[in-house]
Order: sequence, then structure tokens, then C-alpha cells
Amino acid sequence: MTSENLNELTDEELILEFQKNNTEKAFEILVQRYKNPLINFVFRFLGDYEACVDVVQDTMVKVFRYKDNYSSVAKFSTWIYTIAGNLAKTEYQRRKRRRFFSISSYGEEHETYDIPDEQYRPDIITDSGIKDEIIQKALQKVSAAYREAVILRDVQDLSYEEIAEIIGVNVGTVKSRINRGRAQLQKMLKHIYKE
Amino acid sequence: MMLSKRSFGQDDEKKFEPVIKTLKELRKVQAPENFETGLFRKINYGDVPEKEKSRKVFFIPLRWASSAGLAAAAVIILFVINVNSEEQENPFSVEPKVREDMIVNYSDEDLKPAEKKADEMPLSQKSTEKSEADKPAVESRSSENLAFQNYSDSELILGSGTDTFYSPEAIVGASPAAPVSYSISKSGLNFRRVQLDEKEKAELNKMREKLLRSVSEIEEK
Repeated sequence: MTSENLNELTDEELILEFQKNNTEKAFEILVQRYKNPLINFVFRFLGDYEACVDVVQDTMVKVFRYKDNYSSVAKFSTWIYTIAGNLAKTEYQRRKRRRFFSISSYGEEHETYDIPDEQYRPDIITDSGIKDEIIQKALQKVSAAYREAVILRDVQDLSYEEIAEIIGVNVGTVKSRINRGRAQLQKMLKHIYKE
Repeated sequence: MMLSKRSFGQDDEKKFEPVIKTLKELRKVQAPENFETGLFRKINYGDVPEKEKSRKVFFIPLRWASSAGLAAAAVIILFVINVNSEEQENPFSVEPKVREDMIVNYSDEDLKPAEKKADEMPLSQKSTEKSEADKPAVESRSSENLAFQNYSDSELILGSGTDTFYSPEAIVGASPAAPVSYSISKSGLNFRRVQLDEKEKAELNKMREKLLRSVSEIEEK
């Protein structure tokens, strides 16, 4: 099969091609298709670019090595997002353990704190880059379970069903997590909305 | 039921509209240019490059550095406190230590040959021996087996041409008024003895004569 033909295939067809004929070109196309969405998802979850690149590369390595574990019943995107999400969560836990001092360690697991950040007052927020940074910082303060759901829904534009499959919970729980996450974010970003 | 659920979801979407909008407007993060290079290196040569592996191995002990430092500090503090808290004993309330190196044990039997040889002793030595005999308290102490260093008969010879020491019993008995002396012959000292054969003896005699001759010559001059 030529590379042009491969480009026309769906994700599921590409992974099947890679599974059956070990066509590395099919894998390369999948990498091209998913590297940026996954980088975006993992970066928003971890907040560290270098770590997120590592996590996404590890995700691709897992796809390469365990391609036979993929079942055609599920969507390829769901499968690859599940792998990336699990690796991102592992990395997040590892980084959390490493920290000497953590504010959240003083409270309950899902408890968050609204810390006024005097550095970025609404009157001085002009640059979209700074705004982006504030949102990213606020996202990091949202508990991991809610954050994952919010990113998958509002940043990655995935459906509730897909998110439920990726996270491994039912749709109701997904919606609840998304709403709680959004509420926390809105509380933290109220200074921006007042603008 | 379905309608109420949907309306609940739609209400939420409206409620959090600004947040949703903000999140959707976030800039999209792109993968680095060398993403594929790194990926295929990981696939071909393992998950972690060698350089990073060695760095990870090197930094593993640093994880424990803080706790190890804390433990070391605790040990040092404990040691310092322990040294400082050493109780100062009142020297007047403590029994004096017996200086074993200064005690010479001699029993009644050891003294017998000394009595026999008393006639051969010089007058000054005799008087000291008498004064020693006049101290029954000291004798009793030695017979109580405090802490003794055994001397043989030959080591405790009371005769002329020997070195004189203060008696240890006098020190133990704390009677500085009458220090008792006794003598030890050269045989009692720890000299190295060399056995010379006839030839060596003759050579030694020759050397001695030569030395005496030279000394006398110098004296004459």
C-alpha cells in the first residue's frame, strides 16, 4: 500500500494495517495525526512542556509495542487518549510526590484553595499570553479528576461518551466532574471575567 | 426525565459559558520539531537514553539527602548533649582509685629471704626496712589482695649496688612522713642479656684494654 493510500485511511484502518502487516508508515501517520492533540491535552493537564513531550512520546511507544492490544471494537482515539491520560496521571503523581511543599497536602483530596494572585491583577492583564498562563495556573489548581474531564471536554472537544470511555466512568460521573471542575475554574478566574 | 436531564445539562453549559469560552480559546500547544526523532530513538534504543539513565541513577541518592542530613544532624546533637551532660564527680566523695601499676605484692614468704639477707644490707637500708616492718597496716593491705603485681624473690633483693625506690605501700598507705625504700638488683630489671662465646669475649676484652689504654694516655697528657 502506498503512503498516499495510507493517508486516506481512518485511524482504525491504519492501526489494523500496522497490526496485520507491521506497516511502519501507518504508525507514522497515526503519530502525525495525534501528536499535537495529545501534546495539547497532556500539557494542559501537567502544565510542563518537557514532561508532556515525554509523556506523549511514551504513549506512542506503547502504541508501537502493544499494537496488538488494540481491539477494533473501540475507537482508536479513545484507546490512545486512555494511554496518554494514564501516563499523564502517573507523571502527575510522581511530580506531586517530589514536591517538598504542597498546599493541597494540607487539605482533603478534592479540596482546593482560592489563592489571590496579586501578580496578575485584571487591570494589568493585557497580553493574551499572560491570560493563557493564568488559566493554565488555575487549571493546575483544579483537582486531577475534574481537570482531566474538563480538558477532554472543553479543550479537546470530545463527547461525554468518549470521555466516559477514556476515564473509565459512566457519563453521569463525567458530567458531574466537568461541572465541578468548571465551577472551580470560574471561581478562580472571576477576576478575568469581571474585566 | 430525559428532558429534565437535558435542561440541567444545558443550564450548566450556560452557567459556565465564560469558562468554556476561555478554555476553547486557549492557544493550541504544538509538538516540538524533533518529536519524531526522540520517539524513534525511544522505540529503537529503549525508553530512557543512556545519558538520562546515568543522571537518574546519580540523582536517586539525592532523594534521601535531606533525610540523611537530618539523621546525621540528630546524631551529632545527641552526641554533643551526651558529652556535655557528663556528670562531674566530686573528687572528695569518690573513693580513690587503686593504682595497680604502683602496687608491689609480696607475701610473708617473700619477706623471709630479705630478713635472712638483712645482715648484708647497708645501714641506711636496714633502717628503712625496719620502718617498713613497723607498718602493719600496710602489710595487711597487701595481704588483702587488692590489686597486685607479682614480683619474684630475685626481683626483690635487698642488697648493695642496686637502685632504690619508694615503696608503693607507703604511697597506698598515704603516709608520706616515712617513705620506705627498697632495692631491686639489675637482674630484676628488664635488661636484654646476650650470651657471648669465647671468641667474642676475647675481642671485647681487647677492645676494653685498648680503650683503657687510650683513656690513660689522654689522662697522662
